[in-house]
Amino acid sequence: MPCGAMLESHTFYDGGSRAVRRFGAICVTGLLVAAYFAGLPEDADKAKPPFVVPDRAQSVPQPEHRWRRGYASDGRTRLVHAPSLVELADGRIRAFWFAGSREGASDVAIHSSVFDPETAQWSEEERVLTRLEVARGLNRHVRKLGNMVAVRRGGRIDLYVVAVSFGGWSGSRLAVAESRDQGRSWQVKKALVTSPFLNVSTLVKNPPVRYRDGTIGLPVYHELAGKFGEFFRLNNDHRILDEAHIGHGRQALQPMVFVRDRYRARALLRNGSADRPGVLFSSRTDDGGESWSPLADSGLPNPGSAVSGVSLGPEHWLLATNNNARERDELTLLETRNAGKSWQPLEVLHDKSSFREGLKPDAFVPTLRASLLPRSGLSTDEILAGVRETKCRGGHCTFQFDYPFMLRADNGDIHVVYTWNKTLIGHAWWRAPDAQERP
Amino acid sequence: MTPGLQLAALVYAAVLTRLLPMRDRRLHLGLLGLVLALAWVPYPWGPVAWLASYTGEFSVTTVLLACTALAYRLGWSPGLARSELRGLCLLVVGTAAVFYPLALGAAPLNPYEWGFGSYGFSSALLALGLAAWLLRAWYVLAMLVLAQFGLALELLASDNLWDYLLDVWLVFWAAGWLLRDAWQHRPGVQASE
Repeated sequence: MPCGAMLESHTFYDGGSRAVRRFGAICVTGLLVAAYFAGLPEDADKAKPPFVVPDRAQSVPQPEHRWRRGYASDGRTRLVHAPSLVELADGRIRAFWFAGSREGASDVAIHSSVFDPETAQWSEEERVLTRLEVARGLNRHVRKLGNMVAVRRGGRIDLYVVAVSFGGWSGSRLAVAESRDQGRSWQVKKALVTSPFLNVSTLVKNPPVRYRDGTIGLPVYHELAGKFGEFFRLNNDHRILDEAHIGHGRQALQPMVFVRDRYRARALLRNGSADRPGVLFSSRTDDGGESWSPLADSGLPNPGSAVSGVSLGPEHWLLATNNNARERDELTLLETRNAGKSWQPLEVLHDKSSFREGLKPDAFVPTLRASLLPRSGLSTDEILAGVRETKCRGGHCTFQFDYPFMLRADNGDIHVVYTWNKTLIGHAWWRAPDAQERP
Repeated sequence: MTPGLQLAALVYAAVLTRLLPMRDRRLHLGLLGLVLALAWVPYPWGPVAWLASYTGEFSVTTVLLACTALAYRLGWSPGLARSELRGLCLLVVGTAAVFYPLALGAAPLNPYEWGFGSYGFSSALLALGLAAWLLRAWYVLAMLVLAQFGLALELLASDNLWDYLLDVWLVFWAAGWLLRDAWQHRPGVQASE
């Protein structure tokens, strides 16, 4: 007799048969205890693994060093945005960004190109993942694609990409795709469920940190009811093992996490606060990302734009940021050697802050033309027309250099990619000296 | 792929059999079969895949209630008393009123993180299950047990136990049911249990 039927039986309620009652009790207790263990993950009793601590760089960029500049994209699509980088197994660097006729359009896809440090050349831009491919992989409708972050995991590259089924960016969820051919083709594996509210409003911007057990800590952010950072630990099968909020309410987003030691890390977050605009927020963890301190002022300005960075050692970090409280018209690399207590400018990648009040189109275009670098396949007139269309409003044009992403390659090189006036993916590269060149 | 889409199809079928003016059990059974079959048709051709793009997957609790509703339509009586359903709805709405604001960042406390694996959370569910047993709240007991087994079996795409227990549609439905129940049992009106 099934347990439920036994429990419901008159014998049970009349208290007639103790044996039946005892059997029913054992059934229910057994089910509850079995459910208790079924609801716990396999590693629930394991201690939080330590972070992989970045090793000290053999050589580091100095203010007098030259950063080589170029573009990862070829300017053939009207809008490009939100680049990210991953180092391939052979030492080349693959960039990803989203591109299309306009932000949120149905033709927006993930584009990519590869930088070869031997030749210092970018490959031709190619479209590697479309909205329909993501939709078919998830078996769900996808309206548009957005930010993405790539991670190399052994011989595989994982791509975490923002996919929206309905509404604006607040309707975002994260899809995971895998590539086993260095990022040329992708197989969409699953959608991460990161929010209890219709699984919407989780976006990604910055690279993950690694744990010693092979899992990764992916910093993401939420922007529906609130604006806050989140930190998910994922295993190799994209299963979420832990989650923690970084801040709460409507204050900050797009965390960039720097690891200090085995269990300590610091996150810097873009300002999203109406009450405290103009500051870059900071939070820290002392327990491997299980909990994060309340948001504090990092001491750096922020105009409400994304930052990115790399570690050159446990407390030695570089940060790419719009280093002012108002606009995205300059982009600067800052350096700290004391885990963010103090920062010094290392390199100014762009500075058009003197034109902050706006230029008339007839002055804007020549200024832009003068600053445009050569790249094979780049149509200067097409680029200038695109920037003019995107960045000129009401007879005034403004400059925009934003959404940086940084990568420290295994050979010590440092790469920065960023959105250049929403029309090109800018690239700055510091080449680390070879062993024989080092002092 | 998880069977989340097929489970969602059960919920859609329960809603359809409630909304469509059909009384014939064979038609209800046919509709259930059709919706379940459509759940196997992939995007962009399958209407269930399209619908699930907007609703998301449903919790095990919602699926359990949908199966109960379908059982009634098909002529079986799963024995869900009104008083027990009221208790379940109160539990769902009461939990959701605290859970969702916190999980969406209203305060530093984040209960959603417990759902990824926490002895404290699982112990609280065990205690709730024991209380449900003592109170003869069999549906609450079934909800707790099935949700935890559902997580272990990866029935849904989520790795979080909360998503197996609760979903937004369940909360809206439970709140609506409670309002209707309160209206039907307002002073001066005698309603049958």
